[in-house]
Amino acid sequence: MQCRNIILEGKIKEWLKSESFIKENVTEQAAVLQSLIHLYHATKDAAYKDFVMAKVDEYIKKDGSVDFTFEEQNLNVFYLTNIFIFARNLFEEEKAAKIAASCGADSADLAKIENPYEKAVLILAEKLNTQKRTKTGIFMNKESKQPVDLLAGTYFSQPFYMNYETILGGKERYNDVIAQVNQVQEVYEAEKAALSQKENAYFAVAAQMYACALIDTMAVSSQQVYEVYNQLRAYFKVVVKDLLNADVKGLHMAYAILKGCRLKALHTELYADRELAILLESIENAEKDFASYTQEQKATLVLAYAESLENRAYQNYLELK
Amino acid sequence: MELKLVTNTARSAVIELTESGKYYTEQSYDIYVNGEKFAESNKVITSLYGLTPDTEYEITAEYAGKKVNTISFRTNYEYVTLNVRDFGAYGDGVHDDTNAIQCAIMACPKDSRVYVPEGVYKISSIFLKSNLVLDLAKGAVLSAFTEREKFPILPGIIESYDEKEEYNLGSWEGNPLDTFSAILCGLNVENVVITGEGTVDGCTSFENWWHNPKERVIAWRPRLFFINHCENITMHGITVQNSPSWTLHPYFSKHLKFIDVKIKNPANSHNTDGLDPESCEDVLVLGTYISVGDDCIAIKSGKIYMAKKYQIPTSNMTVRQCCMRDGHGAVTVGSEIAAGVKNVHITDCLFMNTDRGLRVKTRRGRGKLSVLDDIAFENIDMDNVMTPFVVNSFYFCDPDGKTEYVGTKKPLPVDDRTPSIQSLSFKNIKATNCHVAGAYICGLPEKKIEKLTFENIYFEYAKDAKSGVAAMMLGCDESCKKGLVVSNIENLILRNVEINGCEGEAVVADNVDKIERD
Repeated sequence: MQCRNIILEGKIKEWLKSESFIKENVTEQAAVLQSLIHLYHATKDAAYKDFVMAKVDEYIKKDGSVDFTFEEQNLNVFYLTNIFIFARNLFEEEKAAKIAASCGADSADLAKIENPYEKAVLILAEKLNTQKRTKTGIFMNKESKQPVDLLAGTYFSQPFYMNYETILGGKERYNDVIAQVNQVQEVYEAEKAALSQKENAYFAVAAQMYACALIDTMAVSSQQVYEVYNQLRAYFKVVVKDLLNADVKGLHMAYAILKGCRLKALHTELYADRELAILLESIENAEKDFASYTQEQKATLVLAYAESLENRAYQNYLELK
Repeated sequence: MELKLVTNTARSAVIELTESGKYYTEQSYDIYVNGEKFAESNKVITSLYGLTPDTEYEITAEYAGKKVNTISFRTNYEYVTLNVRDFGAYGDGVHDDTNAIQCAIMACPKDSRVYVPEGVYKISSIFLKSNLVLDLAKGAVLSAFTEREKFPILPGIIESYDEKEEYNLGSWEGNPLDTFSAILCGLNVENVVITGEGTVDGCTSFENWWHNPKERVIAWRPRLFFINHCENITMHGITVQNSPSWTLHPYFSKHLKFIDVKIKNPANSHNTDGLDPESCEDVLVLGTYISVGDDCIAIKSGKIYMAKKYQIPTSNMTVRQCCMRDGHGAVTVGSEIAAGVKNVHITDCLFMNTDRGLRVKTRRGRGKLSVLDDIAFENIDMDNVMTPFVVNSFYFCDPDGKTEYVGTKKPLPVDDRTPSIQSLSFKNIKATNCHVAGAYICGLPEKKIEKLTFENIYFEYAKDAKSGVAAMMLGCDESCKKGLVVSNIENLILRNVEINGCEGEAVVADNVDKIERD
């Protein structure tokens, strides 16, 4: 668990205030909001949560209808809808707190209040049924069957799909999630020689995103369906080892490995040091010229930074407070 | 009728008066020790306390005015007694006595006992060691704290440094998951006896461990008693009550005895099964009384991951002269039975007020290693049991249990995920005051139950029979006074089966290949 970096967070807050975020750029928006959700979880700083909620409210009306037209067959809809699940959970927590505080007086009325974010998630989750797939059943991003797109597409879609199934779907389609991941893993295995080929640099980027997808999907799966949980963990370890063997470096990878250590998918002793060093070097650079980074570079840095702040103890007794 | 010595320690003995009844004797009787009247009993299995070490004893009994045979034995040698008060335990119900009792246990030499005298000892987790007798005196209560922070955690999996092996400590509902350590916990220990007239009280309520019971907070709920990879463990005489979750959970252990144990949890408590042997071998449950909020005895062998990796079924288990009441199932097999269950014999027992007598819970997805074979019930009296026999191959109370794959009644291809049931046998059973159905047996259409025998069975229904749901599966609606409802069976044997007072057909059979009937 690293200490909070006041300089970096000052720059992050400045960024959030000063820059304009374009609603139509869904992938970028989702990346930024996802990183801020992690930062909120790690710091409990309301500024990050408030920013996320303000952005979410630009997409979802108070009645739960969706005020945006997503591009057809683009998996980024699921990337963003995972942010809406955060909003849904927050709404439920606040509702539960109000019910507890009411001491029974208005609890029945409070319980009846509909969660608009949940309604929006349910609407958008319908797209899972119509998303086009490869012959082997993998969700395709805009009908691309390119391996790099299938790996990156897994990052956009499967954490949401699993999160949705765990919270709202009754775990009915866990089998579909793991069946897709099984197929993506086959694609990865067939192509992974490209990790060490400089001319295929984007494959290493996509493989890092795939590692993130695996650990993020595992994190939101029910441990009680252990076969699925453990299979995701096993694939994650394979991909991480391949990335390390190919000497790939990057903040997505740092995030994935640090998270893997926290969730006990990896030995912290064996894996964390290199990634922390990469992250700290990146933070040092960012302290100097954060403003020059693209939105997605900023988001990735924040994501990895937030992960490094998380209580490294898996059993987090702060949860009880 | 014969008097037999079941077991003894340095300070106690257990006797059995055979052919005198089921759990309770038909009349009370007197017990004589070395010629003096020692006690009166109304149970077939009786514990005698207050004996001294390394001493010859002669015991006899007088039943209905007649003396039965005399048994002779010598109590065990005892080296020293370690009184936990001498180790700093207060026993005042306030002070944390965990360390003092743990110190006494760790200091205990071979052939000795740790003695817990009368008093209330507040503890979190106590860990057993090999070659130990833990003796809880009458009025001694090991009373558990209920704050999560006070309990250590048993990690589910710890990976080896070379990342090739793993070490499993914690277990939750068939999977290797992080679990708070049990109140009494044994890891890789052998030759342990927990004995006496005292109590282990989990002190659980709906404000602590039973609040949001399906939610993992830090780790999963503790058991009251958990042993992992242990051998030669005996629990005798004590009362265990108000457990945070499953009460007694032996796990990957063998040569286990539970004799004259009293297991008591409120009828409305969550998942407080009485005894759940999981992937265990050679288990004797004798003269034990169980009244709980879930299944009285639930026999298990893990979910898919553990079953595939270790392939250890629960086998060679005997349950005899026990009384089960106020649970969901008296004896349940499942639902976590992915490594199978074989050679389980339940005899001379009393089932009262449970929802079901035998309850088999399985489902597609448990896997091909999940083979249930040679499960036999004999000489059982059931009273006020809602449905005496339930075999459910579509059990849906799992995180992913309500899927089409689990629930469909259409035959699916037999593959690595398909469980099987080979032989179930029920003989000499009297079930009075039944409510929902006499039996509700469902095999899988693609993998039928191979052999199901009912022999000398008498069913009689309650006059004011209540309706209920026989099995936790999709499509099983509330019903009342049904007879034998059976489906998906290869060979069904019905010999001398009497069904009195059911409504509708006495036997409703669907997709049964062969029925042998007298």
